[in-house]
Amino acid sequence: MSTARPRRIGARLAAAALTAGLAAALAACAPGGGGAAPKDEPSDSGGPVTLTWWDYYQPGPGSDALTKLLDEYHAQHPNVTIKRQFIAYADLKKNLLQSAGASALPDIVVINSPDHQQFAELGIAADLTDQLKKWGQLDKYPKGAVASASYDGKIYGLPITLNDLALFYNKDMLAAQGLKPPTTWDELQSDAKALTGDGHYGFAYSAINNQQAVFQWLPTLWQAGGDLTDLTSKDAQRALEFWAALMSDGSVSKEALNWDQTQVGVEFAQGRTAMMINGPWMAPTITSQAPDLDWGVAPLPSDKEKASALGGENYMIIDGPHEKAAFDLMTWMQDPKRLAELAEGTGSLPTRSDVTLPHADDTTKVFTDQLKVARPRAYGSNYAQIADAVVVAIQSTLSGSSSAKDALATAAQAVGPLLPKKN
Amino acid sequence: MTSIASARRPVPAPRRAGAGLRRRWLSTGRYVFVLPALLYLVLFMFYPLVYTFDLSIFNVNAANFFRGGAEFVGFDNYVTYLTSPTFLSSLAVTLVFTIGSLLFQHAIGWAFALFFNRGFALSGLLRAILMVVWVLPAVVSASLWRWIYSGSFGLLNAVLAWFGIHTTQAWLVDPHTALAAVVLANIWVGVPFHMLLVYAGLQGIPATLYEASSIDGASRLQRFWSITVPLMRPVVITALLLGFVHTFKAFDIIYVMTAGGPAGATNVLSISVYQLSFDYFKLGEGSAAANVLLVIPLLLSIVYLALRRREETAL
Repeated sequence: MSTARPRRIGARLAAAALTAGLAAALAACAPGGGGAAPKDEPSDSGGPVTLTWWDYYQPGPGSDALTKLLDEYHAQHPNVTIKRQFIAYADLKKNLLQSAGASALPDIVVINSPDHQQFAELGIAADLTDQLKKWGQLDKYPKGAVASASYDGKIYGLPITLNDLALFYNKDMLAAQGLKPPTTWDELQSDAKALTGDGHYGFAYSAINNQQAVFQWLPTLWQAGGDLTDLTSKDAQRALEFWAALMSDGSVSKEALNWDQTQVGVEFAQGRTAMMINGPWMAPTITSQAPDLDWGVAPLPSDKEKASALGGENYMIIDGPHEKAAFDLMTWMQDPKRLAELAEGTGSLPTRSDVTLPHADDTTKVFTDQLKVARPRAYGSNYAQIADAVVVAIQSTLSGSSSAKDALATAAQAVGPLLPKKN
Repeated sequence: MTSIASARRPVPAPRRAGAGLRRRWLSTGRYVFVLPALLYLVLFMFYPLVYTFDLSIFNVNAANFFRGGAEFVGFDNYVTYLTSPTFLSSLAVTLVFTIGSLLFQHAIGWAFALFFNRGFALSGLLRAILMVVWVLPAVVSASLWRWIYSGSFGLLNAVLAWFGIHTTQAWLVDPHTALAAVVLANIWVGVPFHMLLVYAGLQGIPATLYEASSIDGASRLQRFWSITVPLMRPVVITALLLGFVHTFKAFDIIYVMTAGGPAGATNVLSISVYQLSFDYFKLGEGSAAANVLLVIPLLLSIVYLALRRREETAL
């Protein structure tokens, strides 16, 4: 008779297992759920307004600069209260989508520029075309940057800061080998080999399983004369084989397949790599993590062409009751002096041509010069999916599980239908 | 349970006025007590289930999720997902991950449970320490394992070096070892859970059975095979089923360790569900994928319940 006991417990546990499984699987994809946010404040009528602000600036000088500016705005406009929320970059898309489902969207969001078109397509961003034209300062911004905030001929925000990629190098390590920063692929390959030694690698890039790897590899692809629109070309193959060769040489650690750009920066700051590809946002971090490290920045080595990848942050205003108040705040933030403060804090380059950074140094100069050859990732609203297909090609080639040619052919098949239709 | 049932004396039914009303209240009124659970089920289980299914039969994407106007596409999303070039390889990866994890988790869990069942000094404390692994947030344990598997400064390679094997193998970035590495980490995470269930089951076997059989001259092995094993069968099946459901939809540990890489080597189905919905905003296809992810453990559970019922009626 005693056998009945564990049996019945077993059946109950099984039922519990079923329900738990259902709930968890569903939670993974059910949007909404939360209640709608109260939106009963007077909108745009001059009364007190609370603006919700989302950004992904990690705690540090950039975040501090922003807090200071937002406090200043509140002091000047006491009827506008700004509720600032930090959202980790990796969660931003998911959070926006979920809060849109729950009608609890923020009013203004700092987003990564290549994501802007995807959000514009989603229909949560306010169309600011007319207001921006009335504002009359759009000509101060580079066309490419404004294009990143535009979708279907309408403008959905303003670019804040720009960044691009360049070559960071450890001055002591290069001097020890009697080397200058490489300017061509050949030099990069031989220098990286020479700089690889006990406890450190010659070169580092990020080949992690997300968009960052594509951002890092794109300059190489463009330098070779290739593009994501034609991945089966000889040039694309050469670009990927070049990266693979750097790794099979032993000049780049195999761990690069699991390093995001921040981790690459840490490797460099710790003296575990002599050179790396990275962006200007890394400079303040390296300075604070490794104050004794003697390092410099040089343009990326070139092949057929010179190229770097353009990135940056944009403001996106949400289509909602506080559109006008958010617009006022955004344009106030874009004042050249304030923008300079924010750009310097976040270690990035201001978009506006009339902004001069008060403490610009050689590093800033190299990154600013690189802007001339930096290209945007203008591959339409399916870019996230395109990038994932390209990452698989990069990773399978670097890990040796596939040849560059085969990997790119597979990627090209996936990418083809995702590219914007040509007119 | 048996003792309580037999101890209850039959109560003579009281015959009074209003007994019919009372009986009716008892039969309908008691449903009030079910209401909270029912509400919970409808809100948090049934509604998402229906909503996900609803999303999955429309071509919901970024352009029409808020604006409306998604077209009804029937089961096209399911066909697209099931015939996508990565589905079969993802399914294979998921099954290897799930079954590989489960078998070892359970076997090691058994070993620990038998060990602790002997009830030595400090066994309670040791058991509690083991449970810490299970309680740790997945992000923490996954980050820990990322470091263990690192090629140049990881613990695993350092330990191998003590045994004279010098390697800079980066376990998580080599497509040949990444899946095995993730499975091993997940085994470590899951052992305490299986240990706990098996241990609880072992504690539930009356000591009298063992006493009686040893008086009859049964050996230690005989007692294990003839008493422990048959009595533990329901617990084992339950633990395996729970473990299967839990592991099949595992997301966080893999997402933190490899995010499905390198080159798709650890790309389990749950990661594609996340990517489709939240990276690509293809909510229709993402919901179809979520339902596929739901159906596989569900079918297994139904088979299990049906088998149990047959077994129970056969007795």
